[in-house]
Amino acid sequence: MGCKGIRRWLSLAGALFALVSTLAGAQPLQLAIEHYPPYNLHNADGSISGVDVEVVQAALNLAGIEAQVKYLPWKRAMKSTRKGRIDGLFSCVYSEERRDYLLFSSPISETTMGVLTRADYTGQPVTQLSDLQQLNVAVVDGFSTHQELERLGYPTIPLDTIRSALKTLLYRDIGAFYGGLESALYIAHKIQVDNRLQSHQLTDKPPIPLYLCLNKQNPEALATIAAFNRGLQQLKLSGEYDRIHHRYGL
Amino acid sequence: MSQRISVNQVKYVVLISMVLGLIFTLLQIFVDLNQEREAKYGNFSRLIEQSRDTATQASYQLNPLLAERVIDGLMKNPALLHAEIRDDFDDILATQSRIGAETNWLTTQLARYLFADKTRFSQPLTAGPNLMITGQIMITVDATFIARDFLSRAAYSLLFGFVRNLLLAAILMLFFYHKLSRPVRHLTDWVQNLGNGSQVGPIPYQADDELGSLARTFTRLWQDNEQSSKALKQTVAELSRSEKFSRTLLDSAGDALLLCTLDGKIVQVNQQTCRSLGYQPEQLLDQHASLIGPQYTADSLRTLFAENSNDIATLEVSHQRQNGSQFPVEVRGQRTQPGDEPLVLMLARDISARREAEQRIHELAYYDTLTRLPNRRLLQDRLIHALSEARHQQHFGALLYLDLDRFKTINDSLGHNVGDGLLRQVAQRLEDLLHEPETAARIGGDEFVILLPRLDADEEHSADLVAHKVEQIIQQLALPYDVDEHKLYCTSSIGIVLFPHTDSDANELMRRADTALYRVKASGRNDFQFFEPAMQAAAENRLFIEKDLHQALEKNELELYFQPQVNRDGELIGAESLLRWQHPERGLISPFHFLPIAEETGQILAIGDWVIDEALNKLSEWLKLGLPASFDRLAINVSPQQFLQSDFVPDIIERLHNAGVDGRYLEVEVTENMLLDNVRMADEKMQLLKAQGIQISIDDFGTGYSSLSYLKFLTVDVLKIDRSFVTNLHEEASNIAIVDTIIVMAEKLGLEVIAEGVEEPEELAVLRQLGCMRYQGYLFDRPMDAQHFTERLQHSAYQDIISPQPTEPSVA
Repeated sequence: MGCKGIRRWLSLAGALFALVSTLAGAQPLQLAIEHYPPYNLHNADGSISGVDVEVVQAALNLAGIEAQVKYLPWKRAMKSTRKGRIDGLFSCVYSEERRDYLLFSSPISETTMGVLTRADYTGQPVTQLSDLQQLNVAVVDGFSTHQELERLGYPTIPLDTIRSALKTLLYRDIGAFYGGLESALYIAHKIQVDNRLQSHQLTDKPPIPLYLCLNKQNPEALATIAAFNRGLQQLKLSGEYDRIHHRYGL
Repeated sequence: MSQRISVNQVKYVVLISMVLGLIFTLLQIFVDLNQEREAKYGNFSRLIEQSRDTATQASYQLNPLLAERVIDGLMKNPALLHAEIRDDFDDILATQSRIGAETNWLTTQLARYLFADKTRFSQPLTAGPNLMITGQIMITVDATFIARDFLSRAAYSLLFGFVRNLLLAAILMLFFYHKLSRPVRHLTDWVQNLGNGSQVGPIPYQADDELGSLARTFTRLWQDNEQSSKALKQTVAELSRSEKFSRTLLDSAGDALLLCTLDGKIVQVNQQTCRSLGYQPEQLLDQHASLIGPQYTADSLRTLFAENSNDIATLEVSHQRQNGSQFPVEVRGQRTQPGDEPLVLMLARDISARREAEQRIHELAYYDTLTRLPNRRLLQDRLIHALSEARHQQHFGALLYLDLDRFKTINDSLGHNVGDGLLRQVAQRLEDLLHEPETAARIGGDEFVILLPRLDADEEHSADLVAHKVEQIIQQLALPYDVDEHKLYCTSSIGIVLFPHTDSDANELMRRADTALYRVKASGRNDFQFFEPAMQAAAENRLFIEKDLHQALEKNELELYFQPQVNRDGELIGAESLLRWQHPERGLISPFHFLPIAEETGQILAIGDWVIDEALNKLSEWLKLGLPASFDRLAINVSPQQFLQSDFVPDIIERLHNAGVDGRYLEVEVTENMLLDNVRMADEKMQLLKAQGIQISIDDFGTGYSSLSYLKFLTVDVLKIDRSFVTNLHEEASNIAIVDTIIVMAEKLGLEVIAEGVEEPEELAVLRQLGCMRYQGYLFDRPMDAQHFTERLQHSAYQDIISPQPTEPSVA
């Protein structure tokens, strides 16, 4: 089967899926995001944007799947998905616990889990996750990093958002922030505190992929994930994927 | 009694004030409760409201830490038992509870009752512009805690209210006792002393208020009453004396005094009433006045003694004694009202003596003292009345002027006593002869006048009646009289005048009767004379017929005539027997004159028998001689009286037998009215006659009240068309119609028809044309005696009259 044959098959399958979706009269896919710059942005005017938002929407478009994406606090987004109130969410880090109730797509982007300290940090160099054991670490409540540190029994201070976590880091007696470096630095830049922070990459924490997740309970979830993966593949093949990333400076 | 009033006062004042106090305190508590609830509920709603934003944030972000902080804040309020925040997935984000404050059982129950309806407060949490529900905040309040203050206040309210009312009642009781009960008790004691007849002390209460006024008014009334009582006792004593006096006065009155109610109940009588009526007072009291006078009905008493009438009513009535006898009284009655009920006082005076005197005066004025007959004055009155009545009712009356012949001789020769005795007997005989409303009056000497006010509407018949009466009188008065051992013979003469006449008044009538009497005297006495010559003649004629008819049979003065009956071929077919009276002095007398008199006197029966015998005798003779072949029968007329005789049919059969004549030769003529009077009886007799072969004809058909239906079932053979229809038949279209109808009807019923009174050829022609086959009348023959008829039987010749007719007149 040549490349031409594969394309023909893919387009046929896509059309078939679109037809099945139409015939099923399916409602638009309800998806939620958390403000997680630069992947997902909840703008001041209420609109949403971001690298992952554009990638997911483009891939869904290619798969012929209509979707509505809205902002929710992360814990709410996660619980709403789990309870079936919405169909899914992104951008989501894989965990065993989440696997119980979520289906994961192909990775839509990746993030680097690292540590931020104040710029004037003069303590032990932070290069491994275990280095955090000695520090009061702020995390975003409900994020995977929070769960990870709790599992390890490290002292954590859960905060609502990255922004409040950063501010707490700057003005309170907290040693570090642990989370996605891209996102944290993006926000620090936005609130103009980036020059007062110092980032530390952890050698034992390779970049981790981010996924689109759908509720497992939904009987169409598997087909939707498959179609999305194909749309994403198409997007990557077309170069549009990279163009989006470049636009956001990634 | 005052004890009871004051005790009652206390009881009611305390009770009412307690009840009212309780009611109003409870009302106040109720109002307070509502306000308390609103205030408390408002507080808890606000409490939630204050935490809502944070709670919303916590629920939106599903942040248990934040939620816990909110709950911590809420639970600082000690009234809360429980608080929680749930997310919209119904998972609890944060919750806290505590056990309620300890308290007694009553407070707990009351708190539950009053506040437990709302101890849970909750509010949904919404976020974002779409008001998305993110969760719910909820608190539970301790009802006992919030009720505690309120119940404490309510208890104090009740306690203070009770004490206040108790004090108020006590104060009021003291006040009433001092101001009202005590004075009333003193006044009561004082009044009781008055009633017991004790010495009247000073008024125990002098204040210028209602009680003082009551006491003073009572004192004044008491004193007035005391005075009135004394005066009353005095008046009663005086009245008692007065009553005795009145009683004596009443009983000593000579007239009967009667006091009764307007309904007629007797309430008082005096001794004279009892004496005159023969009753004891107790038998009359309470009885109805109609017991003694039937006129005293309730209606008449009320009418006589109507309200507002103080007039004295005078009336003359009869009173009835206990033994049933009656006596006239003059009663003077007046309405009076001595008490509550109006009464009638009646004073009754026995007027028997006065009545007798009046009667005597009346008799003297209007009656002849010797004979007790009415005198000239009374006669005059009655005559005027009779004259007026006769004119008004259009009948005749008669005035008879009677004078005794030779009375003067008797009077002169035997003395006045004998003369008077004779007059009395004459008067008695006259009275015996007369009947109401006839009057015999003595108007002087031996002159009497007799008034017969009602006779008859027909003048001649009236004359007949008078003549009969007068003959009776003359006859009776001519009988011998026994007076004082004398046997007297005295005849009388009577002059008669009939009234009314247009030009005659009472005096003129007396004069005319007197004139007629004078004529009797002039012509030889013992007779009567009418003032009018025509009446004289009529009366005489009738009298002579009556007298001589008795002898007519004996003297063989009656005779039968026979009028032939002819058929349309001119043959003699029969004859009608007609009665004639050959009077030796007056010649031939028509049956029209003497038959009505014979009917009245009953002689008609003897005459009828004679007619039947005579007719049958003649028929028997003619049968022996030989009758013509065309001769059918001989008709005889039967009078109603004769037909009504129960033995009429057997009698006639016997006579037929005696004469040896077959019944078929005889025809009996009756009138319609005779049959109709008693159709059943007539039918029976006619059936019996028919059985003998006797024919029956209806005489004068068409003149009676023809009820044609009888023809259907009565066995009639012949109808005789009355002469009144036949006379001038050819000139009377209406008679032609009647005769035509009779003939057609007779044909249908199978009856023979014969026309009577045929006198003109034109009448015969019309009858022939109408189909009438038999005729009787002067055109053919007049009635003739037996001898002539015997000859006619041998040689009858009517063909010339019957036919040929030169010209047939047409029926109009």
